[in-house]
Amino acid sequence: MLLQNRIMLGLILIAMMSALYLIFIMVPTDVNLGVSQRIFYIHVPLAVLSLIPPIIVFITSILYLVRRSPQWDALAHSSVEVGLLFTTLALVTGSIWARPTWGVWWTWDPVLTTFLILWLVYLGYLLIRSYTAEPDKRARFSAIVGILGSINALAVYLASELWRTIHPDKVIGPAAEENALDPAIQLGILVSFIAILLLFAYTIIFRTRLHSAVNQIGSLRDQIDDLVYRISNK
Amino acid sequence: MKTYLTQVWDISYKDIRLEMRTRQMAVSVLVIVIALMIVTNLAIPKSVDATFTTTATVIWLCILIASFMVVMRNFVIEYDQIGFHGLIMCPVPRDAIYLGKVVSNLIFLLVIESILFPLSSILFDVPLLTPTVAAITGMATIGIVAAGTLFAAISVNTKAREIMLPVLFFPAVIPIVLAAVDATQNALNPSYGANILEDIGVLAALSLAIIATSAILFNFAVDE
Repeated sequence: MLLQNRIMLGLILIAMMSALYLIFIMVPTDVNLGVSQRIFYIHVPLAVLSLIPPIIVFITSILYLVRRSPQWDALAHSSVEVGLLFTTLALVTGSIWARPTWGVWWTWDPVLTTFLILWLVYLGYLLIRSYTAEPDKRARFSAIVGILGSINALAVYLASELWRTIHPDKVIGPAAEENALDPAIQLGILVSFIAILLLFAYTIIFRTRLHSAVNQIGSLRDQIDDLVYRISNK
Repeated sequence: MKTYLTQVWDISYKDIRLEMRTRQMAVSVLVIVIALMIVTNLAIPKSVDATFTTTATVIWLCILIASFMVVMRNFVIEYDQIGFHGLIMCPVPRDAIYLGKVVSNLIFLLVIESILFPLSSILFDVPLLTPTVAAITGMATIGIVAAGTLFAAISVNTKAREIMLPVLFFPAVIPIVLAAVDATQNALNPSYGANILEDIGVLAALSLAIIATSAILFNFAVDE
């Protein structure tokens, strides 16, 4: 394993352990929501970070269509895989919180619905990759699906701003009110956000390297096949 | 400009002429959609006291299924007989091919809707044949067909095209279908006090955005 991989994994482990300590021991229990509110320290970073892959996919897919460089396709592919994982976890953790608070596992709230659409778009992206045999077509089709899917993700944020929703108000980020949180809770959210952000970055980098390696092996294999064909026809 | 529009129309007319000769697609899609409408109508309990919402939902569900079948059939016929490769080699811009396909799909779907709406008006006993509902339907159909045409061009090239098209197409048109259902039920019941012109404006903006983005992306989808 590369040294930088070990350092990154070490940092993730330290950040995760610190986040767990803060979530379960340091931060006070919410007066209104009770113990169930503690899942927010995981749910909020997951949901916020789920909105980053669509931006990466949008930019890298356009770059791929313009420049046709496989590295952009590899980065878009990895972002979708990580995006699917984070969206799934955000939906599951949100659902676990919703059951004791709203009394239902799921409600057709605009924010939840749009996250579900985003999840479906990610699945569609991965399916089109697996059902398209030719590498060039696979990359082009998935880039098109990626661009349209990312535009769909914009609706996630707009939905929470424009449509009437029962989703809780934002307590972090640009739309948050000032002093909306207790300092201990702020620290808890910050540390778990850093931990999950590190995990997010590490997984994307790791998967991109893996996809690039697979692409290189594929092109080497094609070159060898070509060489063998030429030798056998001499 | 005139040449470009002529190219678009020539491509659409080719599809329309093919359909007029075979009469395979419109009739079969119409039969399936009417069957779907009857089944959903029977499945909804009689006690449900939400005629306008139910009607709007069932109609748009039928239109969504019809549009899926129309766009798929339009590409499959051509692709299976290697006609699509000939079309790609035509000395016309790729987006003219896309717009030509959108126009022909739109005409097929409007024909199906022109039968579906009077029938629904009788079956559900609601006033569907109004200029407002027609405007809503026209605007939403353009957006649905525009997205469907692009995804059909992609799906037809994959190993599981019948699976891939709904997987890509349905999530992409959810915003426009939701807006269409909302606008239709508002148009059916003026007592809701909703601004119908605003609803039509939202649908027009959505359709315009979809058609513009899809026309650009189609150039890359058929880049053989």
